[in-house]
Amino acid sequence: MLSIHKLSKTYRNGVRALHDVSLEIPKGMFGLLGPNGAGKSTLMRTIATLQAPDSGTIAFDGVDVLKQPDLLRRQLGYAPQEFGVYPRVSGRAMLDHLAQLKGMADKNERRRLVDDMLRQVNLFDVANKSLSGYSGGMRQRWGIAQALIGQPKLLIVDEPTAGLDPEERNRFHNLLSGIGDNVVILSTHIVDDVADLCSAMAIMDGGEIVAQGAPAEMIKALEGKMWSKKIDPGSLDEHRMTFRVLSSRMSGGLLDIHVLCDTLPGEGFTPLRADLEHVYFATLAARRAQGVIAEQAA
Amino acid sequence: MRLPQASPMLGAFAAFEFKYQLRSTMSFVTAAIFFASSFAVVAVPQMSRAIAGVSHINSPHVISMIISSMAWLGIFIPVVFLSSVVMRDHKLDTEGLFFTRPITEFDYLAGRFVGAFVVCCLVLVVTPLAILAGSFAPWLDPETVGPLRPFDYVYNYLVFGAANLLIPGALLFTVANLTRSTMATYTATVFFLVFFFAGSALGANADYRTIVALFDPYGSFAYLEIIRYWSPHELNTRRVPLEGLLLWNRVIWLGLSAAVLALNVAAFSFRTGKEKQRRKGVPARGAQTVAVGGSAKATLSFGPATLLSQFLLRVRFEAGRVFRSFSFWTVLLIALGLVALALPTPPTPVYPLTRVVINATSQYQIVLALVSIYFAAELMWRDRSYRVQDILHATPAPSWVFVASTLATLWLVLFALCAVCTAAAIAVQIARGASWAEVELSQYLRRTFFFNFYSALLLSILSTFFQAVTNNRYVGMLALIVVGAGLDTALRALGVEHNLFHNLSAPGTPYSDMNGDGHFIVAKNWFLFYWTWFAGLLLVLTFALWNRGALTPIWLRVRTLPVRLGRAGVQACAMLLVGFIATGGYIFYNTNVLNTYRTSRDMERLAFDYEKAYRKYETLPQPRIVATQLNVDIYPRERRYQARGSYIIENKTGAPIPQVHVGYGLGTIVRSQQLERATLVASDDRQLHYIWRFDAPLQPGERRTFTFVVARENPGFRSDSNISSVVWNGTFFNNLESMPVLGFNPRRILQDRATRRRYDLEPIDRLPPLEDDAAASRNYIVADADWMAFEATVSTSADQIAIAPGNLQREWEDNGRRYFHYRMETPILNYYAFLSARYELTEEVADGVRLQVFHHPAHRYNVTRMIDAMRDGIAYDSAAFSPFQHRQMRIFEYPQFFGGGAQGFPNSIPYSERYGFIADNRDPRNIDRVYKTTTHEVGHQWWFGQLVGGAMQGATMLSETFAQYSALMVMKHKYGEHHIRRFLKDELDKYLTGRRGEAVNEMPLYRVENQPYIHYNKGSVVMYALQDYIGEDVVNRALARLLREHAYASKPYPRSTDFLRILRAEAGPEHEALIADLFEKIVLFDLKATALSVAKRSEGRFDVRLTVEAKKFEASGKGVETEVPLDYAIDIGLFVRHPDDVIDGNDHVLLLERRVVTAGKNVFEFVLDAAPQFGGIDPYNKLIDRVSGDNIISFDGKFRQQFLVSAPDEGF
Repeated sequence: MLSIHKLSKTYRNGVRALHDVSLEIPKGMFGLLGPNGAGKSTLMRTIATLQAPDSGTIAFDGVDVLKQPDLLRRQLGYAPQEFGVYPRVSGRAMLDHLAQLKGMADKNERRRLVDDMLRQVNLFDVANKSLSGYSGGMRQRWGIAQALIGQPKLLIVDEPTAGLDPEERNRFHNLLSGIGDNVVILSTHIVDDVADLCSAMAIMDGGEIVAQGAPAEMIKALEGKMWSKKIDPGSLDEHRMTFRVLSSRMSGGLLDIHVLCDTLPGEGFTPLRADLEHVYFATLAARRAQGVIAEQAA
Repeated sequence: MRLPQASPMLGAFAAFEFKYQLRSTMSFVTAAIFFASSFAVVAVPQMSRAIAGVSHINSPHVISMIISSMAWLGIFIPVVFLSSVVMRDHKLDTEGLFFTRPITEFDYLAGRFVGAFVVCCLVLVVTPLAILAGSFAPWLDPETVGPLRPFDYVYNYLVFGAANLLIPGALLFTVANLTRSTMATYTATVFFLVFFFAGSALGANADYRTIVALFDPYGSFAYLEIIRYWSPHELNTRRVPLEGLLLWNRVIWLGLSAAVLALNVAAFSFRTGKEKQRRKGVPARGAQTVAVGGSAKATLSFGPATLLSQFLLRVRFEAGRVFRSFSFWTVLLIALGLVALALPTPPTPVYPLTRVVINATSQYQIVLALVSIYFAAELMWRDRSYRVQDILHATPAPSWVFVASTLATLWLVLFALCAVCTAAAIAVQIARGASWAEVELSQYLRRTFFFNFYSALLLSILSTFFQAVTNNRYVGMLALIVVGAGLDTALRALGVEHNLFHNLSAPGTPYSDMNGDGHFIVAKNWFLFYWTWFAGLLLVLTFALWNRGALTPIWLRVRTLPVRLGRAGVQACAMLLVGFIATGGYIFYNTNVLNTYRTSRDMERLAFDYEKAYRKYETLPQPRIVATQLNVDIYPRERRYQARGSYIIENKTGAPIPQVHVGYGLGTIVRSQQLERATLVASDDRQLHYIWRFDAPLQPGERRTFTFVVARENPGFRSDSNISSVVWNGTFFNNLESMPVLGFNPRRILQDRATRRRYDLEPIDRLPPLEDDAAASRNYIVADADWMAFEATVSTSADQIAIAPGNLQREWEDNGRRYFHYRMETPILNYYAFLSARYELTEEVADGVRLQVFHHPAHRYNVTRMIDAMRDGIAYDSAAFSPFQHRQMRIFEYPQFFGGGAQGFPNSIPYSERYGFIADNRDPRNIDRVYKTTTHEVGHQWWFGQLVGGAMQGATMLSETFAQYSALMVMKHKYGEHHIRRFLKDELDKYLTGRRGEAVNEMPLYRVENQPYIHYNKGSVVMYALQDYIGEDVVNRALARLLREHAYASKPYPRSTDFLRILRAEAGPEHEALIADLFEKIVLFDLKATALSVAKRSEGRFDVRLTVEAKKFEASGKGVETEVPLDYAIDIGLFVRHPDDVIDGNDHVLLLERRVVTAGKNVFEFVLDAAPQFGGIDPYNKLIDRVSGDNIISFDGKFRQQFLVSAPDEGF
């Protein structure tokens, strides 16, 4: 159980990356969804003890993470959003290196584990190749493999699927779905990642948590309120004025818009099954609207 | 390759780069530091004196010196602003942005280079501005500032500033661009810095001066070569001309830079990087089933064993990378290259003893320092530059594992460098002909290995600390330099000199073959121990403050320091701090409680107070010592001595003397003193000055006895120099250290003109003028005695021999100590020395004189040569001047830390172990300095031992110049007059170089004011020319008559004019002009052979025509020269082989005769039986000629040296 309480961080250039973030993250796969720049990575790095917040606390299973980062690191697996590698070091050698740094002293055990990891992430065949030659997807899978070493009680996976092609992402989802007895935080800006994998989630925007809960329940709240209509692309602005358009996408020359409304918004609308993407957009839209109102009020 | 052509894009790149760099804090910080340090160099008198010497602090000479040193120190400017340009694009991956746009490589490269280079130039341009500003500092002594000459700044900035940024800039930019490796760029930087050190090592050897001058990328050595013989006046008024060596140097290096930049553009392509990546890529595989689950077991442990294995893992990993890197091997090669500089035999060769080779190979230490700085920066930032840090830092491995492993890697590198260089030094020693038995491994391990390695190790901790606390590697390096050099200088400027407050510094450990490391090692080790605590403290702080994860501003890290340290860290800090303070306390107890600690300001103050209090007694008539009797007990192991003595003093004046002033050297322990029938009326224990009043004034001719017990002790150790007069083996001190001195002691007041001005004191004359009759009543050595009787008993430990002047009367042992009783049978001056060491004695008797050499048992090399020289010298001088006055003539070896030369005390010559005893004279082409020095000191038995000048101008001519003459004559008879040239050329070079450092006025020889370059070096040339022109017998007759008339004279003491009077009488009026030129004027010649043509006659003889040019100048004391008419008989010589190449015989001389030469061009024609290959004017360099290399020309019109020093008003 990871408890985050009133975490705030403002960078020196004035960017407010975290603002009063409080979260309770239970065991299992937890999705942290948010647009780019929402502060997800800052939150992940802060939990991973790589960055200090200005204020707030983090506790993991009763351990104060900020005061005793060492204790957390012993139970931590962290796959950063982007990372570099040493040149001329193979995937296997680097995993072995990290396994030692994580505290695996026994050589044979380490070799078995590294091989096992490499098989799990499907890199066994290229294990002895230089890491710097890996493709983006291979590198991300390797990143998960290194994070999984030592059966961490807290696993942080930051934007693992960014830049992956659909096939690679699919493979990734399979890989992640196999773990999750412990606390796993998956930070992403891709809704499908959360929809496919997570039993709990939060949505983050502008450094704040704007919604949280179980995906199914959050979807349920929108049940019967989502409508779809195909419109002429020229009339999008018009619709925007009238309806709460959450998303729009071209489909056969026409624009397919998804609208949130308690009742049938009007002619041409057909009911739509709500999904997580709607939840996400609705949440963001609500927040943006608040922002607009706040600005107007000021 | 695309042809470079400028386009608007180039300008845009340049402008972008310029603005980008100019906005960076780095450029402002650097410029500020450069401004501050340049300003300080000029405006802080202590510093400007050090660099300016005798010239104005804003003279063209000083401007160019400061600018070129700043450019040298500023090697990192091009690294930071130029090479980082390419690295930046590479690292930030912005390459792609540029590299995909339709721009040319030329625009990209040239634009960035130009933009960044302009910033470099701007950063350095603050230096001339700071000098300019500094020269207007109101507190400066106006005498040290010259008139404002704006163009000097511009010129020197271009030649030694901008050019010296461009040269390394172009090369480093290219290295960075082609390798894309910071490490490679650092390595190239190290290479540049090392060039300078290699140059200074090689440049000491005259044979390599031209090479060094051409291949030094900074042009500094070419500059020094050109100004070698410049007078202070020229240094103040001439800009060094861009010609000769300097021009070639600039052409070579700027040309090389241009070539390298062209190569850079040609070889560089945006696409190279990408192709490389693609080639190395691993093909992605198709979809495969993913097997999840069934994780293997992972047992985690966090105990000490794991931590150790993690540490070792990181060390293995990092060290593996470093030791496989190109940079490491390059640095190693550079270090080895520096060691190899010691391979060639030096011009004055010595046997390759371990001490000699260690000193000669010590240049590689600079590599250790540079590695500690640059490699530390690189290693500390490596994980970040590969962006691996997030993964690494999220593991449970503690921070110290990362930092300590980096540091350990650095230590391994330093260890490897030290080990390899030590091995290489041993190889150098063997290669230079040492036997394995002469290789002192323990000395290597201690001095080249341990000292160097350990100092580098401490420096690396400091360096790592600064890399850890700053968030930018360049800021880290800069901070180290500021703290390392800046803080040090600032503290010294504030008068804080104690080594306790100067980073990592420790007193030196001067090595001596006789004394080994002796007691010096103790002080050194305590200070190293002290700094080890300090380094330990820094180390713990480094572990704690090190950036884990995100880069955090240092103040935020400091705020959380207690948390970061943890309890163990705080405890460790406390413990280290206690150790640091306790060790510092123990050191302080030694340096400041057991010993009296005085800074140089304290010393100045003491001298000032002494002058204020006692100078008024300078002319007070005082009795003189007529007999001295001493019992001196030397305790070598305890480094102390005690002397019981008595003086018999006599009133030699015509009036009663009521009071006697008695002073002792600072640091003397005055146990007791008693003056017969007199009372102590004033005691100044701070100045050790005491005033006695006679119960009844001392009447003319009346004598009294003064008895005293004094001691000198050296408990513990000192902060600065631990050289004490008594050492474990090789004690050497003279009476001025602790024996009482009567009257005011003029040696104790401030001498330096600038220092005196700071204390508002009138400058003192170096010596009173020749016309001052009062000064002729005392000799120039000591004022409190004339020729006096001397007797001493000296004791020392049982294993040593103790020496004092005089013939040995008796030797005995008592109570485990050895006693020696010496007595002088002729009167001596009140200046004598004591020695004690474990000596081996080699002796011989010649003509009733016992010739003895007391030497270190291992130093037998030149003992026979010394005995020969003593015998030959005594034989010549006795025959030429007067009988030898002693029954024994002795040489004693003393440790090199007391000095490098020899001294001619009565019947004893203390002779340093530094060169003489280990000089390698096996090659007859080399100058035999041992023979020369020994015959010089033997000459002093007459010219000092029998005759000494009054305390006035010209005094040292009577002792030093004549001793040189004695030596030259003995050598002339030994080697022949055709081979004395090598000695004369050497003396001439030293005289001309010496003129540059003249602080006040150069004097004609007969008014020499104790100026070594005049009385030794000019004196040799003058005396040789004199005897060559007027005849050796005439000169000897004059000298013998001088002795007959003035030996042991003290009422008055003889003057140089006494000699000139006798000389003129002996030589006759036809030599008047010569004598005046040689002794009474400063005359310089410019003699040059310009053509030698040879034509064969029908009868087999040869027509020879030699064209020469001649000029004569008279110089003022400041070095301003005026051409004067020339009408002189000068040597004209024709040779079949160059005199330089002949070391024996005179078969090579076809003709050597004196011909009248007038100013301008002179043509001489001869008919000879053989064809000369060489010809010249004054070929043996008997006259003072600033360009001695162009006197001889070869048949094909080539001079010997290709590059000559340019003389004023003429081109190269």
